[in-house]
Amino acid sequence: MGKLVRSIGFWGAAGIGIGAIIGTGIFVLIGVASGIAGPAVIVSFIIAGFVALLTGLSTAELASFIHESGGSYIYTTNAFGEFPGFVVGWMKSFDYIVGASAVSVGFAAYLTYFVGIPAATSTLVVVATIWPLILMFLNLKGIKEASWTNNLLVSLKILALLIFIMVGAGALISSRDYSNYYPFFPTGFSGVMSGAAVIFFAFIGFNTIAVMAEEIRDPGKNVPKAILFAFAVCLIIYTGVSIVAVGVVNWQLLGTSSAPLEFALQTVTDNTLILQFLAISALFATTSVIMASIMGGSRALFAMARRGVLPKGCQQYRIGMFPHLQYSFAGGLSVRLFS
Amino acid sequence: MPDVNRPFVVPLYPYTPIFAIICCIILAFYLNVNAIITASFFLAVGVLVYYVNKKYSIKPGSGKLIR
Repeated sequence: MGKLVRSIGFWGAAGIGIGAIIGTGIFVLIGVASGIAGPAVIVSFIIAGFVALLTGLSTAELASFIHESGGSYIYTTNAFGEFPGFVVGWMKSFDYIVGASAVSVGFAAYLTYFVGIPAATSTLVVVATIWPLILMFLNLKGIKEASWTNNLLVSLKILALLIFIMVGAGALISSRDYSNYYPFFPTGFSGVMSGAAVIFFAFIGFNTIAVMAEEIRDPGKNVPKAILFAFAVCLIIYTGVSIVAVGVVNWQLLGTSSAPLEFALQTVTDNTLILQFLAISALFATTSVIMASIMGGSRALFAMARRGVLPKGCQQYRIGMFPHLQYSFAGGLSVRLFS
Repeated sequence: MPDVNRPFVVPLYPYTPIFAIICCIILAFYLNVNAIITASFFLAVGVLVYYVNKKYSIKPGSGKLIR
């Protein structure tokens, strides 16, 4: 071990980035953030995206000349030394593991909703444990297969969000009813900022591209390009979705919905095919976030073990995929216990 | 490695990264308190893992500059 293979091209890298960025963030957090910021959630999206882009530019520069697997862990270690690097790498790994667990529970909730079985604790825990396990085995088969699957999932969820924007915008324009946008700032500036703080997490997945740099072909060129491309795609889609969502539904109603995009779309269309596709796409979206988290989290742990700040045994990067299992289980349990 | 060849450079350096740091700190203040508590807990566990691993690993940490 100790060497990774370069098998991912530009589109694969951009797909991993978009896969990691567009996830539960847009499918769930848009409701929470709308409830906080009102129609001005559109501004929250732009602020959060702008701040994330600033950090993304630095990541793109560092990733253009440091190609060692590990992303921000390696950058911090090279710049400030072993301990600060460890802190960053450790927090990043937990970010991936906790994030993947939370999203696995989100997936389980969507699945029970979609199949129509009651969302009992045991069902959620079982689904939230088995699904990442299946995805982990896919990752074990090889990054090429995993990357291909990921690209497919990413295409499907982008398509679903584009349909959402087009159907919603079409209904909005033909109805000529823009009353949902007034008042635009019901909770003032602090509401917009709190909304932006929540949405910020819907943007930060692009780091995963940098973490994977050692497996990307021609990383000096492809990594920065993929980061900025993934970023542009997500910012455009997010802004479009938020403009449509708060336009077709009152922001207070949107804020109370657990499936805000389905809810918003239901008010403008009764085409079951479109509604079903959007519901399914939430499953694709959560799945590709879990995929990206498994890829990123295992590489982050691998990179730390290779540099010796975690036990050498963790250097088998595949071992890094296993924590996701236990945490999905624990995560599934705790979410039900504390909510 | 300040002199290394960088295929991509942050525009308007050093103002962009400085501005990014300020923005992130401002946004962090608008976060939920629970998020900050949970993160601090994980950070404490991490520091513990770091020192335990340093003490018991056979080879000392090699997290130094490679290139």
